[in-house]
Amino acid sequence: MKGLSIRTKLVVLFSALVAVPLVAAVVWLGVTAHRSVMGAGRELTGVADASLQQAARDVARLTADNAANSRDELVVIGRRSLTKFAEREIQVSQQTLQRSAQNLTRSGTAALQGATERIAASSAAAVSDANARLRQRQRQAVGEVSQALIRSSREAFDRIGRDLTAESEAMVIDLARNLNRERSRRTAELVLAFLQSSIDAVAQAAQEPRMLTDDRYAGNRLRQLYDQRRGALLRAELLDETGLRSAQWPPPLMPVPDPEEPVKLPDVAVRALRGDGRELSEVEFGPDGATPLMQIAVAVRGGPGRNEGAAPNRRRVLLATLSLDTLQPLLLRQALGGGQPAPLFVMSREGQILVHSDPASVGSFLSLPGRAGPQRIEGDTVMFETPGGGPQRQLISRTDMRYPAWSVVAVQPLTGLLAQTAELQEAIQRTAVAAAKEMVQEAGARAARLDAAAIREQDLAAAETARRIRRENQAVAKAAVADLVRQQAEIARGALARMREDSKAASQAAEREMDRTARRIAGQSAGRIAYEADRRAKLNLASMHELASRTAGTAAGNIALEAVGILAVALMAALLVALLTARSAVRPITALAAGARSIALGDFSHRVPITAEDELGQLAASFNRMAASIEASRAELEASNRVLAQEKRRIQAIVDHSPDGLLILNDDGSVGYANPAARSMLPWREPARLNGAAPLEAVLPPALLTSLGACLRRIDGGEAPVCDVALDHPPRVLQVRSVLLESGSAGIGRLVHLHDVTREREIDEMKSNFVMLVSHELRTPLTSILGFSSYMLLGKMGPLTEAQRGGLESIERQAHRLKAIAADFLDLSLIETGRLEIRQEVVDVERVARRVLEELSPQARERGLWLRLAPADSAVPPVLGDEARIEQIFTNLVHNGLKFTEQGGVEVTLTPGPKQVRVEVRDTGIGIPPEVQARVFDRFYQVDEVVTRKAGGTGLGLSIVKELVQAHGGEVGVSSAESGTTFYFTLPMASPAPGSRLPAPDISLRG
Amino acid sequence: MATKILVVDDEASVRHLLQVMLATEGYEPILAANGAEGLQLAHEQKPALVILDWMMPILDGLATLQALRADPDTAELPVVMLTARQGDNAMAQAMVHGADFYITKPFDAEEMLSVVRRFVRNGEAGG
Repeated sequence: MKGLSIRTKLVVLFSALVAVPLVAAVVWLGVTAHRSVMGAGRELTGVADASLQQAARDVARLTADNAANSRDELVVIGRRSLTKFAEREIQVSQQTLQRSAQNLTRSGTAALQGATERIAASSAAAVSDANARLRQRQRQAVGEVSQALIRSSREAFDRIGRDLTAESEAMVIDLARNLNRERSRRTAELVLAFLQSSIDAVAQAAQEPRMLTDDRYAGNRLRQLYDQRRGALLRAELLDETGLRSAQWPPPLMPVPDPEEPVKLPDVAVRALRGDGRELSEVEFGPDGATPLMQIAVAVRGGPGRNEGAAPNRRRVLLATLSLDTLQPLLLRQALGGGQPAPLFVMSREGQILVHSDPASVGSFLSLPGRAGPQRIEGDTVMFETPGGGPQRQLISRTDMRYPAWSVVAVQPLTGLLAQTAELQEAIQRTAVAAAKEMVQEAGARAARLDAAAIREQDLAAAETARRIRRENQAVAKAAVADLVRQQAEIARGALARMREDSKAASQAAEREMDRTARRIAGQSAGRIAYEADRRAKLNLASMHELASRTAGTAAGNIALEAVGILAVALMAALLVALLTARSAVRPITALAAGARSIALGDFSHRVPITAEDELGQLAASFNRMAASIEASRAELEASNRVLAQEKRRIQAIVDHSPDGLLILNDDGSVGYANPAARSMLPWREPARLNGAAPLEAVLPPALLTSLGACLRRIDGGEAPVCDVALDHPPRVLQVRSVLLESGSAGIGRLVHLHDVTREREIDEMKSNFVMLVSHELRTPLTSILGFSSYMLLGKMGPLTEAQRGGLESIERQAHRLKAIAADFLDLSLIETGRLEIRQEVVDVERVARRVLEELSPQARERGLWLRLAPADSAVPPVLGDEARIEQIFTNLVHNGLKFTEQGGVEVTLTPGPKQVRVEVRDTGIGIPPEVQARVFDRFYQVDEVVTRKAGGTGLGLSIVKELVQAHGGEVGVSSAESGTTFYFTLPMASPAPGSRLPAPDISLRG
Repeated sequence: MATKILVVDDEASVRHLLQVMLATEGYEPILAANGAEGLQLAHEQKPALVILDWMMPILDGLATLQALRADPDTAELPVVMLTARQGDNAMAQAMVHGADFYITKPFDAEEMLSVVRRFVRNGEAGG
């Protein structure tokens, strides 16, 4: 539509522009031609007139002279003279006539040629003038069209930009709303999980029957609870119903004046005792006014036990003070999750903020401008303007909890998000304007090129026209002049003939007159002759004049007609040229536009016809090249897509049919993909949500989520390459591997590989059970052997001979060795099945080291070796771990050092580090070659069989050391020179801050 | 009258060992081959100490221990658990259920005798 209208416009414009000046030129040409031919006629008449008058005057003078001079002789010589005169007269006038005819011919021809030239020149000028104006109008039209194009494209892009912005804004808000809702819900779940686990921990302690009877045990248990929930739990105390405090942890900072003084039982404790259950207090703020505290009270239940009846009337309640501050980092993490800070807070029913991602807001009451109270924040999106910061749109999502009756509110500012869509619109507009400008520049350049081509064509046409006019006019003029000359010659001949006849008649009449009135008439005849000649000449002249005028008129008419014809032809030619030019200029552009549309619609096989070699042709050619290369690369792309699709199908088949579960977890913790095995392996809460990147928290049961999270953290921390996650219903064990996925430098989530190892674990367990059974079965016979031999060696069963003593000692030694082997086997099988429990006690590692060295010193002395504990540079802080197992580590290493040392001894060094204590056990025995150092911790590996056999041992000691140290979260290693080997291991410090040494009560149940 | 010590173990070899040792040391060993027998003898003979094996048929050590503790007559009776199991789990379980001590099999004569001496003296001192 647009293209057509432009074309039509051009043609109409062009036609109008060409026609008007051309018609004017034709009229002007006619008038000019007529005028110039008339001028030529007049000139011709003038010249003829003058020459005829001259001739007449000559005749008259001669006649008068003759008459005067030979008046007397006239009669005599009259006839002769007259005849002679007449002859000469005729001759002269004939020559004169011929001369004048020649003059006439010359000047007429010149005049006609001049006129023709002028016509040709003026018509060429008119054509080029018309062309110039045409070009100007054309340029103007192109300019207007370009401007219109820019305007309309800018408007169109503006509209698109606006539509797009509105749409994307709606989308952004929609998306943000969903995310925000999800965020508040997820946070509520996390908060509840935190509370639940705290309550569970307290309740678990409260369930133990000894809490009722054994205050010392209760004290240790509270401490254990406190350590277990370190940071979250500020205080744990055990009160009886009268308010008497039987145990508490941590100990009071200030000495209590009378610890036996009953305290007033808090309301929550009363409720718990009354209901015999678990109760939560209202949130109160600590002494600093900023720490939200909550009390958990759980009635201590007296389970079945021998002491149940000991104090039947004293019921106890376990009261734990929980700091909700612990939730703050969690909220902060959720608040910062989306990149821009989006506040999150937990508020009470009354609208008090309990925990906030921004700690400064904690404790304040929520007040929103223009709103009556927090109840007005409904479950979903509200937009309001914040004070101070100007209008700001925010989304608010609220998730209500039932117990405690808190709400989690997530606030999502929209300003930042919407700024991005505004940027998008601006970008579109910028692009649009740039594109329109480029189009206009292109159109301008094209128009200029078009213009130049048209001008060339038109100039050529005009020049040709002028040439033709000139050629035709010249021919016409020549013909006209020839005609004129011919007619004049005829007239002159006729005149001469008549003159001859007249002069003959006159001479005859004069002869007769002379005869009759020679004298009388002699004087008058000259006048009469002159008069007559004059009259004749005048007559002659008039007719010539008329003739010339008529001829000139005719010629001018002819010329004018001819010119009109020529001009009509020129006009038609010009119109045709214009039309063709216009069409040929527009057609390639239309074709290009159509080509672009086709390609935009996906038809890459479309080609634009190349119509010319000009710029448009080149443009079309390069367009075609572009289309061809797009088509080729698309074909390539499709081919590689097919290959990829095939690959993908293969990989999909592998993934789909893999017996192992595969999960992709996105960086935000949502499930990106789960293969069928993973879908069936894990107890998904809402399998349907797996398709839509559901957050893991929402689709996995909390217990599994916790164990899986812990497992992934261990893998990420490099603690273990794999780890097991146990499932309950049905009982299964999954071995988890995890790979962090990277794309470029950015993380894009992780691949979690789940391998069902239930069967393997069952087999492992059977194996371990077997090992345990064997080691148990070994113990019974060993009990007899060791018991009797050691008892006999005490001499209690009668005196012994030396030989008997030697034999019994050998039996006892080997029995001990067998016992150690059985113990090592059992330890390893416990470790393998994960049944080895590492207690978390505060252990004085120096005391343990001393004890082990003391125990092993008889053995060392026996072999002439020394054993010593190197003095530490500074006080050795306590470590966190299992005292019995730490003792086992020491024993194994020192024993190992003694085993491989022939002279010298073993030295133990304790070095406190920033977070751990490093222990070195250095011997002066045979070294370990570097190449086998890495293997000494392998099971059943022994450096030197001979030495080993002599020294005794199972080869399991170091392996157990390694497992135990790692189970404590420490590191173990060995370094050895040519002589002497140093084993080292680290143990985590109980309190990371040096100097603040905790008392180290022995809370193990052994003492 | 010699101090009575009740030995409850299903293994004859262990019973024999303890019988020889305890008798030699001047105690009066009373032997039982399972928990039920042990409970009965504990009631009848009122021993000063019970050495109780953990893993036994019919009534195992733990159940026997609980039964002893549930009965007011024997609730305060010192019980030393004898077990082939090792590790904190077993120990903790035993202590939680009211054992006073435990000895892991196989044991040294000295080890066993020192424990016996401690509890019997304690028991005598306590009444």
